[in-house]
Amino acid sequence: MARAGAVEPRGGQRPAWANKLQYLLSCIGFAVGLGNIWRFPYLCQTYGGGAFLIPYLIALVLEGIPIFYIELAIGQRLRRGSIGVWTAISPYLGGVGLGCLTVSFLVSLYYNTVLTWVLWYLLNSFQYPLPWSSCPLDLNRTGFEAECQASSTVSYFWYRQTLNITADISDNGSIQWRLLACLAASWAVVYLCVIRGIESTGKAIYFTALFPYLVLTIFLIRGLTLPGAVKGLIYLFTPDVQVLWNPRVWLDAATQIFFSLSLALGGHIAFASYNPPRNNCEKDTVTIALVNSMTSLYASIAVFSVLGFKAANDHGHCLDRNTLHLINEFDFPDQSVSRGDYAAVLAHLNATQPERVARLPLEACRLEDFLDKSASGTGLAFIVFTEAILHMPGAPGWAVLFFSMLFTLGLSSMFGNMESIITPLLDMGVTHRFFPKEALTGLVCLLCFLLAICFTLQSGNYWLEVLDSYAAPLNLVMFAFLEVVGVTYVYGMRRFSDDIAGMTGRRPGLFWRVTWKAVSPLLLLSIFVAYIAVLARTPLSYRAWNTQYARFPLRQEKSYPGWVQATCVLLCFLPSLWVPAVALGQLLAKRRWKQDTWQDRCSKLQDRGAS
Amino acid sequence: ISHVLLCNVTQRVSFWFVVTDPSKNHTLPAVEIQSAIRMNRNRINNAFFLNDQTLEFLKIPSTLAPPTDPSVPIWIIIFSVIFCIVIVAVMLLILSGIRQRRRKSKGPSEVDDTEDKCENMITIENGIACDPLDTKGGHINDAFMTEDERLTPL
Repeated sequence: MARAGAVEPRGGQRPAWANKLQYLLSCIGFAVGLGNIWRFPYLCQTYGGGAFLIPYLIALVLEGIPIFYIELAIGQRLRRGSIGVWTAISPYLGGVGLGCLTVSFLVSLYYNTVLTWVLWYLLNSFQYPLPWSSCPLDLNRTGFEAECQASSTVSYFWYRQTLNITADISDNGSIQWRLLACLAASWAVVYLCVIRGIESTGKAIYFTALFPYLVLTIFLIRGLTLPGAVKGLIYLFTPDVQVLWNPRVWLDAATQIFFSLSLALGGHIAFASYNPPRNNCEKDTVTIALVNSMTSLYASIAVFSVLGFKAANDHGHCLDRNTLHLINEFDFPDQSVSRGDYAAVLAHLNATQPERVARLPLEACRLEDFLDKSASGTGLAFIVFTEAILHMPGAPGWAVLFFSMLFTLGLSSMFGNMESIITPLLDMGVTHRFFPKEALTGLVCLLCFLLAICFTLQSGNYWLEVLDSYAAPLNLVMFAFLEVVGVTYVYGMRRFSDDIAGMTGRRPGLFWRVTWKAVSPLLLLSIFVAYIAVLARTPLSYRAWNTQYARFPLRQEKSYPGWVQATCVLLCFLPSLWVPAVALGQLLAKRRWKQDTWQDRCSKLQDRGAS
Repeated sequence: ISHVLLCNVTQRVSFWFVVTDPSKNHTLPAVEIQSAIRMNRNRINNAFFLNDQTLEFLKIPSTLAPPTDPSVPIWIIIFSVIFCIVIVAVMLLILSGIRQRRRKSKGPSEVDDTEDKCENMITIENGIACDPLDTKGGHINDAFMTEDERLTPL
């Protein structure tokens, strides 16, 4: 077998990590991303609080860590990016690498757009009062803008002043130049950090990987000291074991651990390929996976405490409005009924004068209703959390901290995405060896920036949701399945165990072999099938922000037009088509080689030997 | 309390007023008064130590104070600062990369100069400085054939 990885395609030595810490921080930074902050707490909250940890940990142990180990080990052994690794294992599997490259490319397009929004909010946080704290005035300055009045200041700032969103996905609108400027800035920052490959990201990662932990700790301390935080934490973490009977919980736990560790994108393979050949990747795997899960938990404590504070705040305002009605109706002295007395006073009035009480427009103020209002994704960061920050003393400072944390979190994940694109390109030798790496990186960043301009259109948010929901999930599960099967059965378990013995000093134990051969492939297959089943049953629809909607500010449920539905379906499986395409190509090439007559081959050999 | 008579009691303190022009001895039209009040609302409020929520003029909707708009939006200032820093850093990195590459290609010609300069007491043996031989990278000795080339290719 040819020693894949012996010769660098561009000549010279393969770049290497300056020290082990940079490698670990890069993998941790790639794995820990925005999903740890805004997806995991939402899942915890929706699926029975602490009970969600059970399927999450099971998925981590049976699916996340084994696949992660395979990626790190194969990258470190074969010392190539994703395309080189899979071509080396078997030429028929080369499509897996190309597919990973395609999905990484699509993911980096919309991931950096989210970072653009975060940057926009960060730039707007350096002022007091914060721009999303008040509505703009209407034309004759006698009241507030109608749209803002009907929804809320934070929603208005997000949907109108940031996105300037249209009411329909087919209505493209114009390019928002503010978002375009921020997009250029965020791609410039990414380029600055990725310009020399791991040489430059290795230095930037010290800050971008560690800063979020510092900010999370600050938020944790601040959050826990806010009123109402502890009640929120207790309510949100109280386990509801009944929820485990719902199969959807297990599916969501498995997909969450899969995307949380950023598996099957090719980034970890790329990072591991720069390692020295003798490096204990088993310890690295377990360390990084555990750090990722611990970060999710840590972040959810901080997020829940702030959400608990917000719920308590809203609950207090609700009580105040009801108290005002009571005071006005029954002529109580001003401020005589405190929030604590409200329940007793209401009960007393209900007992003595129920008809007058019934005529009042009292709202039902239950703390649990406010705590149940959950949000994930951009809704959590840009609407719920920004509103919570408004009520904290020193709001601009907290906003700056929060959005810079989100920016550095996303940036460190972008490093992994860019490496998973650039490393295979460099390994394939697409450019001449004297073509500088800086220029290749610049070209890739420029191409991504130009394509991502379509997300700065007014309907960009809808397109981002399309890409987020359909481009990555199915393809990554398919690629992970092929990875596990490819390494275990095509490369051979025995050869792989020998490689691991060479790298870590001992052969993989029974746990690893059982999970690689049986458990993980079966789990991945069942996730794939379940995902398709869920997708087939849910109608392809989206929620639009339509000011003309009868029930505005609720978002209007609309179904995608036909061509968008076709795009969704195409995105679901188009990257996976690389696998059969490359396999077919290899098969045809082999058949053509076999069809040459013996004489032709012998004469070819003679010609080459003579030269 | 005595000798205080109340009439037309309403829920809140309210009164009607007219403004007369002393020189012409007639009341000024309501429209003029309304626009005057609208322009000086703040001063009238302050005279009573009240605000727009507690002192209401019927038929005069209060105009709200717009949020203070700086001449240059703040986000543009910070954006320009960050963008300039990033562009400068990118330029520096690209230039240093070009310079490194030029230095590498000029490398062999500079070894002769170190002999004359003798700056850092580099031990010299047979005209070749010993330092490069001790570094981790080393030099590729082209006299030795690498493993792959031992076998003649087909």
